[in-house]
Amino acid sequence: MDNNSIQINNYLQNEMSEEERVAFEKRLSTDTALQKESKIQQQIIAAVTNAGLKAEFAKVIRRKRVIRTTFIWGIAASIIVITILFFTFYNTNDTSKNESIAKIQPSVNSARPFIDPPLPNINVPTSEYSFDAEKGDIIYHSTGSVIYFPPSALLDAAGNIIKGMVKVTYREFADPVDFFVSGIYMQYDSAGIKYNFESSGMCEINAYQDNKAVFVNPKAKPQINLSGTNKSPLHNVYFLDTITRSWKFTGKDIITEVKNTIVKKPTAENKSSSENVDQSAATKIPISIPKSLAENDYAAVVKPLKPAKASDDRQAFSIAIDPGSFEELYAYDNVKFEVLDESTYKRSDADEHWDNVKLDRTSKEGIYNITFTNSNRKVTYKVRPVLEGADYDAALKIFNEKQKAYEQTLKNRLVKDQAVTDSINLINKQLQDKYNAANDWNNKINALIIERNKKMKEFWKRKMEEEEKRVKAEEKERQELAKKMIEESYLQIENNQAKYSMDMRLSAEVMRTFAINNFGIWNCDHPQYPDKETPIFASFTDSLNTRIIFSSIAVVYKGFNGLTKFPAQQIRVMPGQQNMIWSIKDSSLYYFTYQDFMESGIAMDTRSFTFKMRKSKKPIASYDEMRQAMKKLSP
Amino acid sequence: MTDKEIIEHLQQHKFSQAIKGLYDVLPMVKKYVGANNGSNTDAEDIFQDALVILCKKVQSGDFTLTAPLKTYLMGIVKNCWLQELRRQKKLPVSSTTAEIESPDSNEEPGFITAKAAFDLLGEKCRQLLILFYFKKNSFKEIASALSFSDEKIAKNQKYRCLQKAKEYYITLSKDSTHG
Repeated sequence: MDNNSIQINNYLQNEMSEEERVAFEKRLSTDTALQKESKIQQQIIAAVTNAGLKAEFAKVIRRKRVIRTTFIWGIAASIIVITILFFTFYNTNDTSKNESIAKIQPSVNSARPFIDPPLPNINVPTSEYSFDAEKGDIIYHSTGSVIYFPPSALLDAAGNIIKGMVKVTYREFADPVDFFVSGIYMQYDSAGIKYNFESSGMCEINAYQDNKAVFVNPKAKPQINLSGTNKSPLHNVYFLDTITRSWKFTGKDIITEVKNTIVKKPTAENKSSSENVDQSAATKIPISIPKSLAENDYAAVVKPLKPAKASDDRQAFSIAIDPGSFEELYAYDNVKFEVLDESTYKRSDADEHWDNVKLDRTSKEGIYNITFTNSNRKVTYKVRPVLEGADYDAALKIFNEKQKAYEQTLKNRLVKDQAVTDSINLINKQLQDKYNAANDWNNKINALIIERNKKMKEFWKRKMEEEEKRVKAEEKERQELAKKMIEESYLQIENNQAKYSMDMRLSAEVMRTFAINNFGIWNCDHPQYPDKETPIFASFTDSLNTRIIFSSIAVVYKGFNGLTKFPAQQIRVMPGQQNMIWSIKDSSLYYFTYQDFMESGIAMDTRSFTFKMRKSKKPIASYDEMRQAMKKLSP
Repeated sequence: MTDKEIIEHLQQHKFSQAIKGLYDVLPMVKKYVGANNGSNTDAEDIFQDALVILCKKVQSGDFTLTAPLKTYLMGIVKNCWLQELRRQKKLPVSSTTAEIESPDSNEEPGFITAKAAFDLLGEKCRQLLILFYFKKNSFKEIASALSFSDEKIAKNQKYRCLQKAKEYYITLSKDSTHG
């Protein structure tokens, strides 16, 4: 370690002996470099103690604010709802702008508010819906998302089920522009490590009745179906806890690819359109007992044939039986075949020479057909196997043994088969349950999406009509300009319609479904460790090289749906990749484009850099203006 | 709570008690800063800075109150905010409207640079230095609080953090000279 530094430290901390102190002060009086270093160290220690003291005050104020916030929450909520009502009335549009709910989230601040919109009075617009809380409702949001409120999903502060009309405010944050404008913190802290959040869908939802905040009924949680295009299963669901100032992991969402959910119903109306749709895998689940088991295994167990005693007065033949061909007979010695119907029997047949003799089982157990053939004739007699005298007695004994063994084998087999059948039934039941659940889910989400698509069509139709009206009104005033606008408007409407048309099922749309247990901000995210980031000491100038001081800087990486914010001067960037840097000063947007960054020469070992920022032509006055400005920067 | 009691709380580091008596000043600060080109965030930041200055003053030993404490604190707030506006070049350096004599913002030359250098450090470094210089924790306590394997590592780390802050200080000094 540097000896000077240690000595300065010991000197400033009064940790020197008298002798050491005198010697050090003597050196200090003549050594200007040491004087300078000592002064710097002294000032840094002063800054440290100041920061420590400030942090203590911030902590106390934060604690005090939490207590106060709890008390004044009802009042604050009332004010906000009134504000929302005012803006809704003022704008007469469902996407009315309001003073963001985020602003009244119980932010517990040490230095800056946790949710910190950079542009005063500009925020991501909120939509408002109302419905009967007891009945519940399905909300179809303009982005294609669907929010399901089951009946009695809301409670008051005392835990009673809310009855009557309630208001729900809802908005979504789709991209870095929304993250920036809303001032929502897009980093995730886990075990002291900061990760950048890549969002696949984020929303804020709140509910009120009579200007008071209401709460989720844990027994009937609302369900959010966020429409998006990111299918990644790596994303989890997080809730923004504004009290602890952090994102809380709450679980996984269910991802449904919209194109796969439409269940085939071959009606004339949808026959052609359903041709491209996947058959649900669930419908293909086999629910039957495999044949092979029963048939093959039973074949191996031969039922013995009870021997019959030969009648004295009937005709009988002796024939040789091939081993293995009639197993039920083979156990017995000297089997003869007695003709059952002697009226068909011709005595002369016994003297005729037969080339071939064939024995066949009949459908009746113990009865066979015996067929004699030669080049001229073919005769068949119905016969039964019989035994005579001692042969019969021996055969009967064998039969009894075999019958016993057969019965035992059969019994064992039945037990075994029952077990197999039971397990097959169990598997089938499980498959059936799974199928039912999958089918239920499919039906539910399908019904939701079909209904949603209908609503979206209505929504865009309405939009188109409004647009038409607007265009026509303008047409009267400024004919030429209106003509151009009609073309542009129709083009835009067509694009939008295309987006939400029936072809949507073939698009990349996915629904991310999750239940919520709190109102506030919810996010489907994948936290990523920023290992390719490097810290940079940043200073900023305008185009005339005049130094500008920003209070915070936002950095966006191209292709990454997230945003990182840093206090001014200390930022982190990803060299070699397309970075865009934004900040706001006096309502003007300052920016350093992807192109600017690529040409800046910033590398992993760059430690400081002066960013020459571009500036928006005019101050940003609305959310739409912010979006338009950003669209030009990153089309 | 009387001014005397608040001052005693500040002297004894009973910040929670002291804030109870001073919290009412915050709305005034927000109003003042809001009317002078600042946001609520700025107001809260400046309020905390002013509390730090007040605290240091009452702890310095030669503090004499010449006005009601809340008025005095408001005076510090105004001075701090004017200084901030000057720093942001929104106000000419000569302009001054300080109403109370001497509740200055104790920012001697180089202090702002030191503050900026400290702010540039990583979170862990900042915590370490605060624990050592402000909380007066031992290296053993620091090692335990910041999960270092032993006190020697905590000591080395403290040295590195301080050196880093010095480097930043020097860079920033050069930057402000050239910029």
